[in-house]
Amino acid sequence: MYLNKEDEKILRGEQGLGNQKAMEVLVAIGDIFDAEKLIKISSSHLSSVAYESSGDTGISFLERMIIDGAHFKVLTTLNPHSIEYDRWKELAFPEAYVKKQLRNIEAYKKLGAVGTFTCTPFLVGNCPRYGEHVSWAESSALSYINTVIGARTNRESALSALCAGIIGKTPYYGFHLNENRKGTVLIDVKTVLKHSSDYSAMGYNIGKKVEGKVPVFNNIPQNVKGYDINALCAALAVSGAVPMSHIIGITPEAPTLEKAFRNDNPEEKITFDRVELEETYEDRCMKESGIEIDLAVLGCPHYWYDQLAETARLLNGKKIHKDVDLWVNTSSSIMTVAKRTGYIDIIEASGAKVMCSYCPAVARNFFGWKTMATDSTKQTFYGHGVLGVDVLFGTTEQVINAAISGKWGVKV
Amino acid sequence: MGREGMIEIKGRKVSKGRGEGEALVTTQTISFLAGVDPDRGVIIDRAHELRGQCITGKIFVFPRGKGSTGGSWIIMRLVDNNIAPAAIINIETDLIIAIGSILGGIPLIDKLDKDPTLLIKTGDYVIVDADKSTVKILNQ
Repeated sequence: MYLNKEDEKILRGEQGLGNQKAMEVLVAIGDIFDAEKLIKISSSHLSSVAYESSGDTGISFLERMIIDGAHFKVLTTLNPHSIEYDRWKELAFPEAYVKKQLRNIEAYKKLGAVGTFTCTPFLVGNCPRYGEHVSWAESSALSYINTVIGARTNRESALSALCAGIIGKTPYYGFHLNENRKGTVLIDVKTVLKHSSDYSAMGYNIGKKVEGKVPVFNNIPQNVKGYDINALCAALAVSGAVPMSHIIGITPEAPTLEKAFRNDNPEEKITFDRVELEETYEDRCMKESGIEIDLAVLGCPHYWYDQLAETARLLNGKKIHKDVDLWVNTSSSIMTVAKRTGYIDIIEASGAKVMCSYCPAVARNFFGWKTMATDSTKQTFYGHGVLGVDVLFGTTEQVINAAISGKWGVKV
Repeated sequence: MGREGMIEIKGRKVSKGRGEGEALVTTQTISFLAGVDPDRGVIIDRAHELRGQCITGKIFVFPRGKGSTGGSWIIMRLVDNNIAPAAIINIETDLIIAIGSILGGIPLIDKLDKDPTLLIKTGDYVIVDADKSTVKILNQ
């Protein structure tokens, strides 16, 4: 990979050990992927902010980087973490664990990161423009900005995005290059998608079939909501590590099928119809109707305003079951405005909790939960793998009904 | 090369430094996340041919990494716990192993002139000098 004089100086350690380490990582990545050079980025977004993911090594690594003089050169925002930021005491998160998480956060702040603590940084001030080169981890967010905005990022890991943020550059390969952003597989959507969870189900189903390819979704309505695409992107990333899709008429690079495929023929055509949709709902439910639940999770990815408004509408005047925790996840920024608007008071009057900066997928099961209901296929994957709970997947309304009745699939 | 002799081959430096020790060789790829215990240095992946083997202090020779990018943290945790391999040799390395080795400070060489998973045998004494991009193999 070509390095300019400035890059060479950093690599030789002339700007300190922290910058040198970060440059070594970028050079190694560039060599592995045959990148021609490094290009400037305008922002980075980091995952693995959670103490649960990186542990004490994460803390000592970050603190060492501070001592070694590293500091982010571009806007760098942070993913959710393992605790509720403001109300951990009230919610009984263990204090020793909280202190570790706070120490981890403190190190990120000293490195110059902005404490967004959300998987939807594009909603809260880190929103790249069309064509802008960035270096983002968090598979759902990076897929969203590639797909909806037409910004350009590879599927970065927490550490590669961190090094890119410190240097302000990333190796020029993969989804930064025009030719690799071309659609390769046609997904013909043959069923009406009514709920966010329908998009989440479709993403999970299709992701498994298109790993390593760029799917092109045809027949998605032009008035599709941003949060529905957010749900689709999150699910595609979980089951298929898909960093970018085209949605005809929505993705800036895909106004038509011909443009999406750059006048080539699709390598493959896949149909998604009612049968696949229903099969995915069944596949993501580990238990039958009637089973008691003790955890209901909404807000994966972190909920947008409309989704909090809808949750408030569904919970208005209701009480959730005494044996169920209903946790609705969002960012502090969205929470602040939603509270001012009145959504949060209505939601919490039901006994539900709106959680800021937190994600159960990167947390520990401190509360003995056994069975979780959720409207997100991503959360079913991590709920089972990380929290160790049995999972149930349905629409937002089905999840809220289960939280009220205490049982899955029971009418309220 | 005679049995008493030594063979030296060139490769590509990915992570700097020098390490020597006994080789532990596999032709299978490995996921460090959920594949290696960061507190014991032992391979725990049930499906791996080296399951139960300890990689501490070894010259760990394998084709490349696989699995979650969180695997980089596991390599760094092995270093923190003083139970990391002395060096790593890959056929062609990947993002996870490269980042973990560089940030953990484990010497890593790949793209040797010959396939290291066939050339090097478990138990061979190997000297990895990443700064010179060389691997020396002393047969047992």
